[in-house]
Amino acid sequence: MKYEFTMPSLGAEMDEGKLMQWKIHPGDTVTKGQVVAQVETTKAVVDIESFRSGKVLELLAKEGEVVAVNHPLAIFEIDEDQEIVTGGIKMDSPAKEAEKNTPEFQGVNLREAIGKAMARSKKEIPHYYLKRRVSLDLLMSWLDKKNALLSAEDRLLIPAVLQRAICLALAKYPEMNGHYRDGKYVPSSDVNMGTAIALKDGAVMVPAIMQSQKMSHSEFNRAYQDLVVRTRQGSLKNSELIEGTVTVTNIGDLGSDEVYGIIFPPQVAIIGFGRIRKEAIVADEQTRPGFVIDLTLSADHRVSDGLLGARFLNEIDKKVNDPESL
Amino acid sequence: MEKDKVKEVLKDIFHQVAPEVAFDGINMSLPLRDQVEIDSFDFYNIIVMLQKKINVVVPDSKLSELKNLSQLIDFISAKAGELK
Repeated sequence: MKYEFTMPSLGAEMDEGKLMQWKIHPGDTVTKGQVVAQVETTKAVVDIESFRSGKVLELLAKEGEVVAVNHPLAIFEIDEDQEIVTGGIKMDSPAKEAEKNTPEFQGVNLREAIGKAMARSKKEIPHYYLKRRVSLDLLMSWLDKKNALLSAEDRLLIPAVLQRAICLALAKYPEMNGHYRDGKYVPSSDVNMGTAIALKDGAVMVPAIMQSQKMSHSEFNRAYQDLVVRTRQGSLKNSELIEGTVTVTNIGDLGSDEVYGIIFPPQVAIIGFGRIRKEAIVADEQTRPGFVIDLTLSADHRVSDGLLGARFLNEIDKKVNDPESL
Repeated sequence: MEKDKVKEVLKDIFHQVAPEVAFDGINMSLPLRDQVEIDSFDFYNIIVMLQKKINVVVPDSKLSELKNLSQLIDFISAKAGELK
């Protein structure tokens, strides 16, 4: 069967991309997940993977050419019975030559793209919001002990450890991890944890740590650092940009105590990390200083409700306060 | 370890992590992050590189207290002294 390999949408209302480089030639055999091309979007050069295995018959787009999303880049010969993971359209949709040949790259800027995606989210998704203050004293002393013994390269980062706690908590809350499309929610068996990463020029990208539920805490920590570095270098894979199943946004240590995120469609939940700080904690009728973070949840009311959301935040709290379980 | 030596190492690290930052222009006693465009991830990188170069681990529980370069240098210098 002939199969059209098309320009993927790399999230955030991307309309088109510029084919920078082919990594394949006619006659090559391609396996699913193999990087076949590099595409430049408004902010990054992204490695594009094939979602199918097969043989390359023809490269339709030339290097340097701007191609609209979902328009064909190449023709592959593939087996009929392959399951489509995502992306791609079948051969029966006609190629639109005129639209394909945009003379020059006129990408919207990333701010505009984020604006569009967020406006759509706010219009379509009935958000509800919750906050839970979580004590970090146990986690901090656990981290101090761990990191004193680890090499500098393996040092555990607090945001990575907190994201790992969320990943573990999600196992019991499938209503927070998946995609809502065409009126239907489909939970995901993988936790592809999207993480909002600031670029040096102030823009933000939300790539995902794929299949994070399969990782140990040290693997997750490495994957997190690697993702930040690659995002800033502009070397991400398309699957990392479009297959996130849940997102974490971290306002960092620059002053805001809480952040309530806007859900990144088609996802259904976003968890916010506020500034980690010392506050007065009342326990056993005594007041003492202690580390806290405000964790927030913005979730989709079409899929879950506040009670479930509250239980989910409670579960994260339990994980964070049982660091050995991480 | 001498504070001047720590400062020199720190200058090298800044040059690698945030080459756009003019290290000599940073006021040592004012909050670092108010003066230069580095985020929490850059700051972690700086801490990690300090550990690689001087073998001093800055605990996470101390990070929030080290707001300016002078506090950071004092801490590293004292810790590096304990190691000897």
